[in-house]
Amino acid sequence: MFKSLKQLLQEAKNINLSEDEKSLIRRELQMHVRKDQMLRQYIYGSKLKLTKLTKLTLIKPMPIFIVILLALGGTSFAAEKTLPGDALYSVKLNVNEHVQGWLSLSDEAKANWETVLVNRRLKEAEELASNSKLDAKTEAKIESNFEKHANKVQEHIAKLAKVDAKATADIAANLQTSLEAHNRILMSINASKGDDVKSQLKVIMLNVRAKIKNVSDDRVKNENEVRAGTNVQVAAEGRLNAAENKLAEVQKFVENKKADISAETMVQIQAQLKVAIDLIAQGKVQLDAKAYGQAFTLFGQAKAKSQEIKMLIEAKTDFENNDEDVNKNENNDKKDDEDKSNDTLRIEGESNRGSGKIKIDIDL
Amino acid sequence: MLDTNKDKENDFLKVYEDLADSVFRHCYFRLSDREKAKDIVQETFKHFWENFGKEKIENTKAFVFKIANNLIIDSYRKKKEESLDTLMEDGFDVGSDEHEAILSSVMGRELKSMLDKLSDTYRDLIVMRYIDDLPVYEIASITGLSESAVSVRIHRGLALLRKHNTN
Repeated sequence: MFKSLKQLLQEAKNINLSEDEKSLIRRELQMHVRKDQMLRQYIYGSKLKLTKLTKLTLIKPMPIFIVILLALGGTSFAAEKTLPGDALYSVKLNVNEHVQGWLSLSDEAKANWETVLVNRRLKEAEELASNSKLDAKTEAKIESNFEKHANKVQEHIAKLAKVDAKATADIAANLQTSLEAHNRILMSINASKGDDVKSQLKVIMLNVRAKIKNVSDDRVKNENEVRAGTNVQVAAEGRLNAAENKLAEVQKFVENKKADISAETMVQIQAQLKVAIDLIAQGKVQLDAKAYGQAFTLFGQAKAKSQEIKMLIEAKTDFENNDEDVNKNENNDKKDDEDKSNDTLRIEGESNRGSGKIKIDIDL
Repeated sequence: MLDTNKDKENDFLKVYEDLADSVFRHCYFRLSDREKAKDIVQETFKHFWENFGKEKIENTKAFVFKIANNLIIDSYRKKKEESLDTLMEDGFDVGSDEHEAILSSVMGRELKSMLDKLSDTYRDLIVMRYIDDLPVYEIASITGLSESAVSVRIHRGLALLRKHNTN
């Protein structure tokens, strides 16, 4: 009987992690290690070969809460939600995003990652502007980072276009849709703000529009190439999948956000989702008729429509509510002002405040 | 500096490659959950990284197992594991439908059902001695028990296992 137990114990030694499980954990650990090394390098400035004394001088002025966060090992996590001007914002840029970027190896993956960063910078600008906190300094920082990442996307697009027109067209379409949605969101915020914020937003919006033009040219050029190529049927079928997946993702997203969305907005969302559904249906008709080029374009439009709806809903829930909080605070401030009988100041402030209420329309 | 970082990373990953399977096996037989075992493996090596290169580690394997052991004890404290019956009812958690994972769970199931009948005190030591192949003195160092206490418990645990196997 004991022999049987020995056999069982022997058999147990064959229990291992699968290759995939092992690689996945390895990858997680590698990210952890690199993040940790970068963080240390960032904090101690080891690249500069500093002496112990200068290191101490550098560390000394670090705010106490950063020291506590470091001790808890949550710095990079804490940095993730920061905005320009926050103490940990440079950790977000120089550590978190840098490390995540290492995982993107191909030009396609790199272009997608840079697109994510373009989105992040614009979202930061929107968040700051919606809270009337976008000053010239933060605007300049965001502007330069936005420019840098948008240019990188275009660099990768240029390289990828030589080998894969379909992937290039998809990346360009994705970026174009994002930029167009951001342009609409920025315009809505702009309409509600005073002159000081408007002047900062204007610079960003002009740059966004210039990038839309560039990336739209890239998209059209590469889409034409796909349509003229021999693999257009495969490309159209691929885009059909992508369009259907995106639509399903957005429908699920809407379902989850239902509680935060008013009935009126829901009607608008459903109408816009119907546009995406109709585009897919039209594309399928073209696909059946073997008009693959047409189908390819229609599926691309359907995917873009779904993506746009999602971004606008996110902005609506983020900034319209955000704005209510700001207005509430402003109203309290106003009440205090009234109590102090300082009417002149309050009226002057209001005249520069714009409409005061952010309104993001889902309808085009 | 960058080269040093890279070397350190490679050395660390080498330890992971060498010990990942045995640490996983250890966790797998002490916890009743493949997914949880994977989480503990990851956590173990993250903790190990915190100490890697900072202090001289004489016995890397024992050190890593000590971390895993502490994390498992924490996990016991947080939540008493589901009974084997519950796991059987749920179809036994294999974590994923990968061939290897399914195979592993089938292979270990018989032994696991016997080990689960032992108390933590005996099960943990049997796993360390006969599945992880750790010598008694290393088990003693990991658990903080004396070598003789470890030997006695292993002996008793084996006797109980034999009894369950006969039944």
